[in-house]
Amino acid sequence: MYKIRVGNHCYNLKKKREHILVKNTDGQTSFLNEIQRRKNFYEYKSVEPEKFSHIVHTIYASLHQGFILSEWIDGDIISRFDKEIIRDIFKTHIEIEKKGLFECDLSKNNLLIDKNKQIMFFDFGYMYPYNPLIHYNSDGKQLPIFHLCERLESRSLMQYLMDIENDSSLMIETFENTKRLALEAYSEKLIWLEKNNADTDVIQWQKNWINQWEYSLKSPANLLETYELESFRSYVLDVHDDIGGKSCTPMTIKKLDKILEQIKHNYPTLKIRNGLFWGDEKLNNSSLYDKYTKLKEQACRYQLHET
Amino acid sequence: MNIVDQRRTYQLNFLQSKQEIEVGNKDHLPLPIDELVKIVPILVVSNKYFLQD
Ligand SMILES: Nc1ncnc2c1ncn2[C@@H]1O[C@H](COP(=O)(O)OP(=O)(O)O)[C@@H](O)[C@H]1O
Ligand SMILES: [Mg+2]
Repeated sequence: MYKIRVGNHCYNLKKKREHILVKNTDGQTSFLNEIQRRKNFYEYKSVEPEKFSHIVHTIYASLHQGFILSEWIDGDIISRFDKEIIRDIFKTHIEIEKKGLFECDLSKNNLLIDKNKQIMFFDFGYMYPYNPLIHYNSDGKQLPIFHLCERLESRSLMQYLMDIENDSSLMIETFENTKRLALEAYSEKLIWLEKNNADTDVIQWQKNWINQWEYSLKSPANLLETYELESFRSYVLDVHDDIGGKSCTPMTIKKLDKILEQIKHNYPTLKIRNGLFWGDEKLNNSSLYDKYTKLKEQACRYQLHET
Repeated sequence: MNIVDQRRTYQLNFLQSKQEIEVGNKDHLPLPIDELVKIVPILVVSNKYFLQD
């Protein structure tokens, strides 16, 4: 990644990596994927600039030459998830989804806040095509667990909420804002899905999230219950990623401790509200606790060591 | 084939085919293309490389 200054104008130069960090097909094709998305956005921005104003402007990119030149975003890594920021994240990505693209990696490193306090998106290596009228996400219908709000939470927001858990009022406020704004964004998308004759499964799936968040906003107790449920989901997804990639950190252990605590004290709620998935729903309380105890032992063995 | 395998196959074939994709207008480049291609790291600042002027 390079910052180039010509006169007093700055640009970002992203070059295709010689050595791919993620050694699977998606990693190997992520540069191609990004160029394809840049091409999509170049068109969308020229037709509807206001809907895609949070997407970085590409000056020029070439697959053969192996580089992407963009405007430099004069900004900082996100340090607070303010209401306006969350609203713009959802708004922009609902527009992206309507175009038939799904972002898998809303991680903190892929979000910058510019000098006008606007969120900017610039990394599309893991944004994939899908049909929003018949698929849930870019995995088709296989993995209904993945959706926009979940991706934001699992890749960045739940980590942020965990970091500020000592400031419980800010934490709850941020979570509540997220649910309110997600509800708004998903309700708008539901209207669009219905207008465009989306599959009944997709409409029902969309309504499920809406119902879940309407419930969560009815009382502080419901909100807290939803936080426990959804943070549990994000921690479980994260922990599986870390252990699968043998890249565990002290944070993985902290998340496993939270998972174990939830299983111990909240098993009935997790069960009733469909908070268990990928086989966990078939385990009773003590087998589930054992499973995650073993995963914790594994995570301790796979700790990345600072070099 | 599910849509994930379809996508991966399509992408791998695309790379094999050596087709080009260009975005934007080459004429808008602030530097000649050969210069951009030649840029290499000169100074490391917390994982990012900076090249000035
Ligand atoms: N247009 C840009 N302006 C300023 N900084 C950028 C720009 N694009 C990327 N960056 C910085 O470079 C980092 C890596 O860029 P990214 O596109 O996410 O690459 P990678 O594929 O390696 O994740 C980002 O975290 C961000 O800080
Ligand atoms: Mg990135």
